[in-house]
Amino acid sequence: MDRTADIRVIPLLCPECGNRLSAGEDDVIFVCASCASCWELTEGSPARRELHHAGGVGDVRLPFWILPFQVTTREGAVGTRAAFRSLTGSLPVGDGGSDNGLPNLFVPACPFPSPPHLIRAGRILTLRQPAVAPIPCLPERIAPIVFREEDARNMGEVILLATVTEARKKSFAFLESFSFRPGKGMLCTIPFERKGPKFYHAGMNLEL
Amino acid sequence: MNGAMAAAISCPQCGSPFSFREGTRNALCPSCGTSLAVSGEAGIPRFYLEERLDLPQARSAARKFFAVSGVDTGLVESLRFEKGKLCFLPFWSLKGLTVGWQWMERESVVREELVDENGTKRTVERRGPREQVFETVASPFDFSSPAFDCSAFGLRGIALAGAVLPLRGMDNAELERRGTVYDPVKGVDQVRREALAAARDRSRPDGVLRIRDGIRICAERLAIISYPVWRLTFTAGERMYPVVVDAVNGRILKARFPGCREIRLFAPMLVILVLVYAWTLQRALGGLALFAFLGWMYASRGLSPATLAGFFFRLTERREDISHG
Amino acid sequence: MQILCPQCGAPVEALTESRFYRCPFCASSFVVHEGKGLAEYTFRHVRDDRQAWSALTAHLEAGLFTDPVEQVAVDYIAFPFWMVSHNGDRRRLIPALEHPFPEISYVTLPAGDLVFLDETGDYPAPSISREQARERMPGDEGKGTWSLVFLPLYFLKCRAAEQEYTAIVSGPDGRVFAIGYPVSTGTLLSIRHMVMIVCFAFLLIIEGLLIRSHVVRAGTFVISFAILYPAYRMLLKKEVPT
Repeated sequence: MDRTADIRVIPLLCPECGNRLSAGEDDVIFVCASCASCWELTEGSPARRELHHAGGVGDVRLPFWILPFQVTTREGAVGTRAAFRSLTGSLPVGDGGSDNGLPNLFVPACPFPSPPHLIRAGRILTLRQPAVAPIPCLPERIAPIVFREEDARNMGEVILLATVTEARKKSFAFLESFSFRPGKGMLCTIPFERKGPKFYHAGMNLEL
Repeated sequence: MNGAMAAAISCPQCGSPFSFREGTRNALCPSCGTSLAVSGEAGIPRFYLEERLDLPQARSAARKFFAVSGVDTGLVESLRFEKGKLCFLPFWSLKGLTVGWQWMERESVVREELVDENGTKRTVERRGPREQVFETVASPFDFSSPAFDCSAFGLRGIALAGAVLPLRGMDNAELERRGTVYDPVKGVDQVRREALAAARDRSRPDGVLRIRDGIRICAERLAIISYPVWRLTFTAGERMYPVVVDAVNGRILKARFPGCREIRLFAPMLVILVLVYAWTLQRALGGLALFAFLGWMYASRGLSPATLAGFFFRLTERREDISHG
Repeated sequence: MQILCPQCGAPVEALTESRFYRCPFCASSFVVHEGKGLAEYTFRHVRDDRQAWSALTAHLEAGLFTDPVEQVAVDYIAFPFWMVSHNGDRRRLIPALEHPFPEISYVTLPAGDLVFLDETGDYPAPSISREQARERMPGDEGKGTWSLVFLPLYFLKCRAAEQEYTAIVSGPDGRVFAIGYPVSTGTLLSIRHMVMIVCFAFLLIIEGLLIRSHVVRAGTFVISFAILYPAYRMLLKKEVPT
């Protein structure tokens, strides 16, 4: 009876320039190599997506979902970077931007060797709160994008909790009152230097 | 199933067939080099597994089952094969990542070393204060669940078979020539609920007093896989016996037959022989033999008329039914 | 009057008084209900009463009831149900016809080959309207697309252990919907077995009365046993369980 859910094969061609998009097995967002436009398949047809690129040097660009967020705990609302720092107990490092802006959550959009690695990478960047200033460029090597914004929102809570100290998380009352509200996400690639199995960012002195 | 040719899926650009792995989203056409996104009409691709047993093989698998599983031999001899139908049963497959956290409260055990007056040491385990644990959950997730009412088929999941056998893109016209294609009746929301429940269940350790979690499934890839089974019908007189045979590996998925009968003829016949002989030797001896028999019955089974009648007249006793699925 | 096809949304001209309309675009069949098209389905199934009785017997056996069952009546109906499908989920069925068997409310959608209704079969018109059915559903369960399914069902009446027993057997998958199991009145003995044992006893008694010599009588007894024991065994082996 139900003949509507059969197999459908959609050739991935850039709607802008007509060139082939290259796609790995699990990619959800495709970057056109010739015109640098970025596409996501929604209900069978490609829809345009904004992809930003942070400046810096590196031989591979890792894509991240950057979500500004607000968090409420039993100690009150966290809506600024300064407040987030006091929640995590981390020190201000680097060029985190104004202390009064919304803190950003960094969720990897590319695959990592295992899910715990993924969370660790998100945690490190979120703790750092690096300022990301997109620059116009046409980057060469971008790691595949396998997570949609919705996935990033789903992973957000656990990455954020990973930044909080263990002692706090053991309190049931803390978790009970914890609520996380992500804002609209931005997809941005950050350049990294490849060092064996690890990625290194010289500007932030950071290893993933 | 790496590299399995899926003949029913062909590249819309150049028309040549390409291989596709279930659980992935995209494939590459080997002829023209175009990347292809594979999905279903509603974003859910449908696949099927090819049957490996034809009808005679399915019948012989059923016969083999009758021979080895202890089905009543009298029944097996009179069983007649009536009909067989190939059915393709739909299963949901959900692959993804489970991420989240869980908070638990559990009892802890404190070990104490005591030294008594003789100087011997012994350790005593004492219940300590309750400990709170926060854990991050992050692992790959693979779930499969029937998309139909499986009670009549005895098939619960196909995760294993789907991982090793080549899948083909759904081709209803082709499959309907071979058998019946069953429609999925379970919706996406229900599968997601079930998968989430399974994910939460899986990461739950034992011995926990209180637990709270925030577990979610990310990067989910959904598919419907149709699995082939043979529905065979055997008859004995007016009674029909349905047998469901896995059309991939010949396993019996569902069948229910009366078990073997045990014939217990020797004891009642021997007792009658001894009683009558004793009675013909001498009436008193017959009475004594009868008394001895009743005494033995009383000690072993009881002396009610029902047990006595059962001893003499119930010559066959059925073992438990043979039931699968 | 123009009606929209419930399957593909194409407009279909409804001119005749016929109950069935066929969409020229997607070939689906539907009825008109308050000026709107309503899809109707049934299952491909060929009536076979033996199948229904066998399913019932197997069901009773699974409940450890093995007494003989006297078949009283069988009624075969393509019974209408309202089916609500919500996001592909269509397991919820509500009977669209009043029926004295209370088991009817337990019937769920079987696994089977769901097809559009054709005009040849005998399909009873629903007596419970969509609105009435909706009222019987709790909360949000009525959300979704409504359609009618005519499910081939066997309504069985039998006597088992001196009790009237009713059950519904679903045609496509042979599932049994019945409330409880009849209670067995006791174990039954086979007349055949009784006759066999009584014959053996009689033979020995007659031999015992006729033959005077103890030794010869003992020999005759042993020979009778040696002949009858294997013969009986063979007869018992040949018995087919009912």
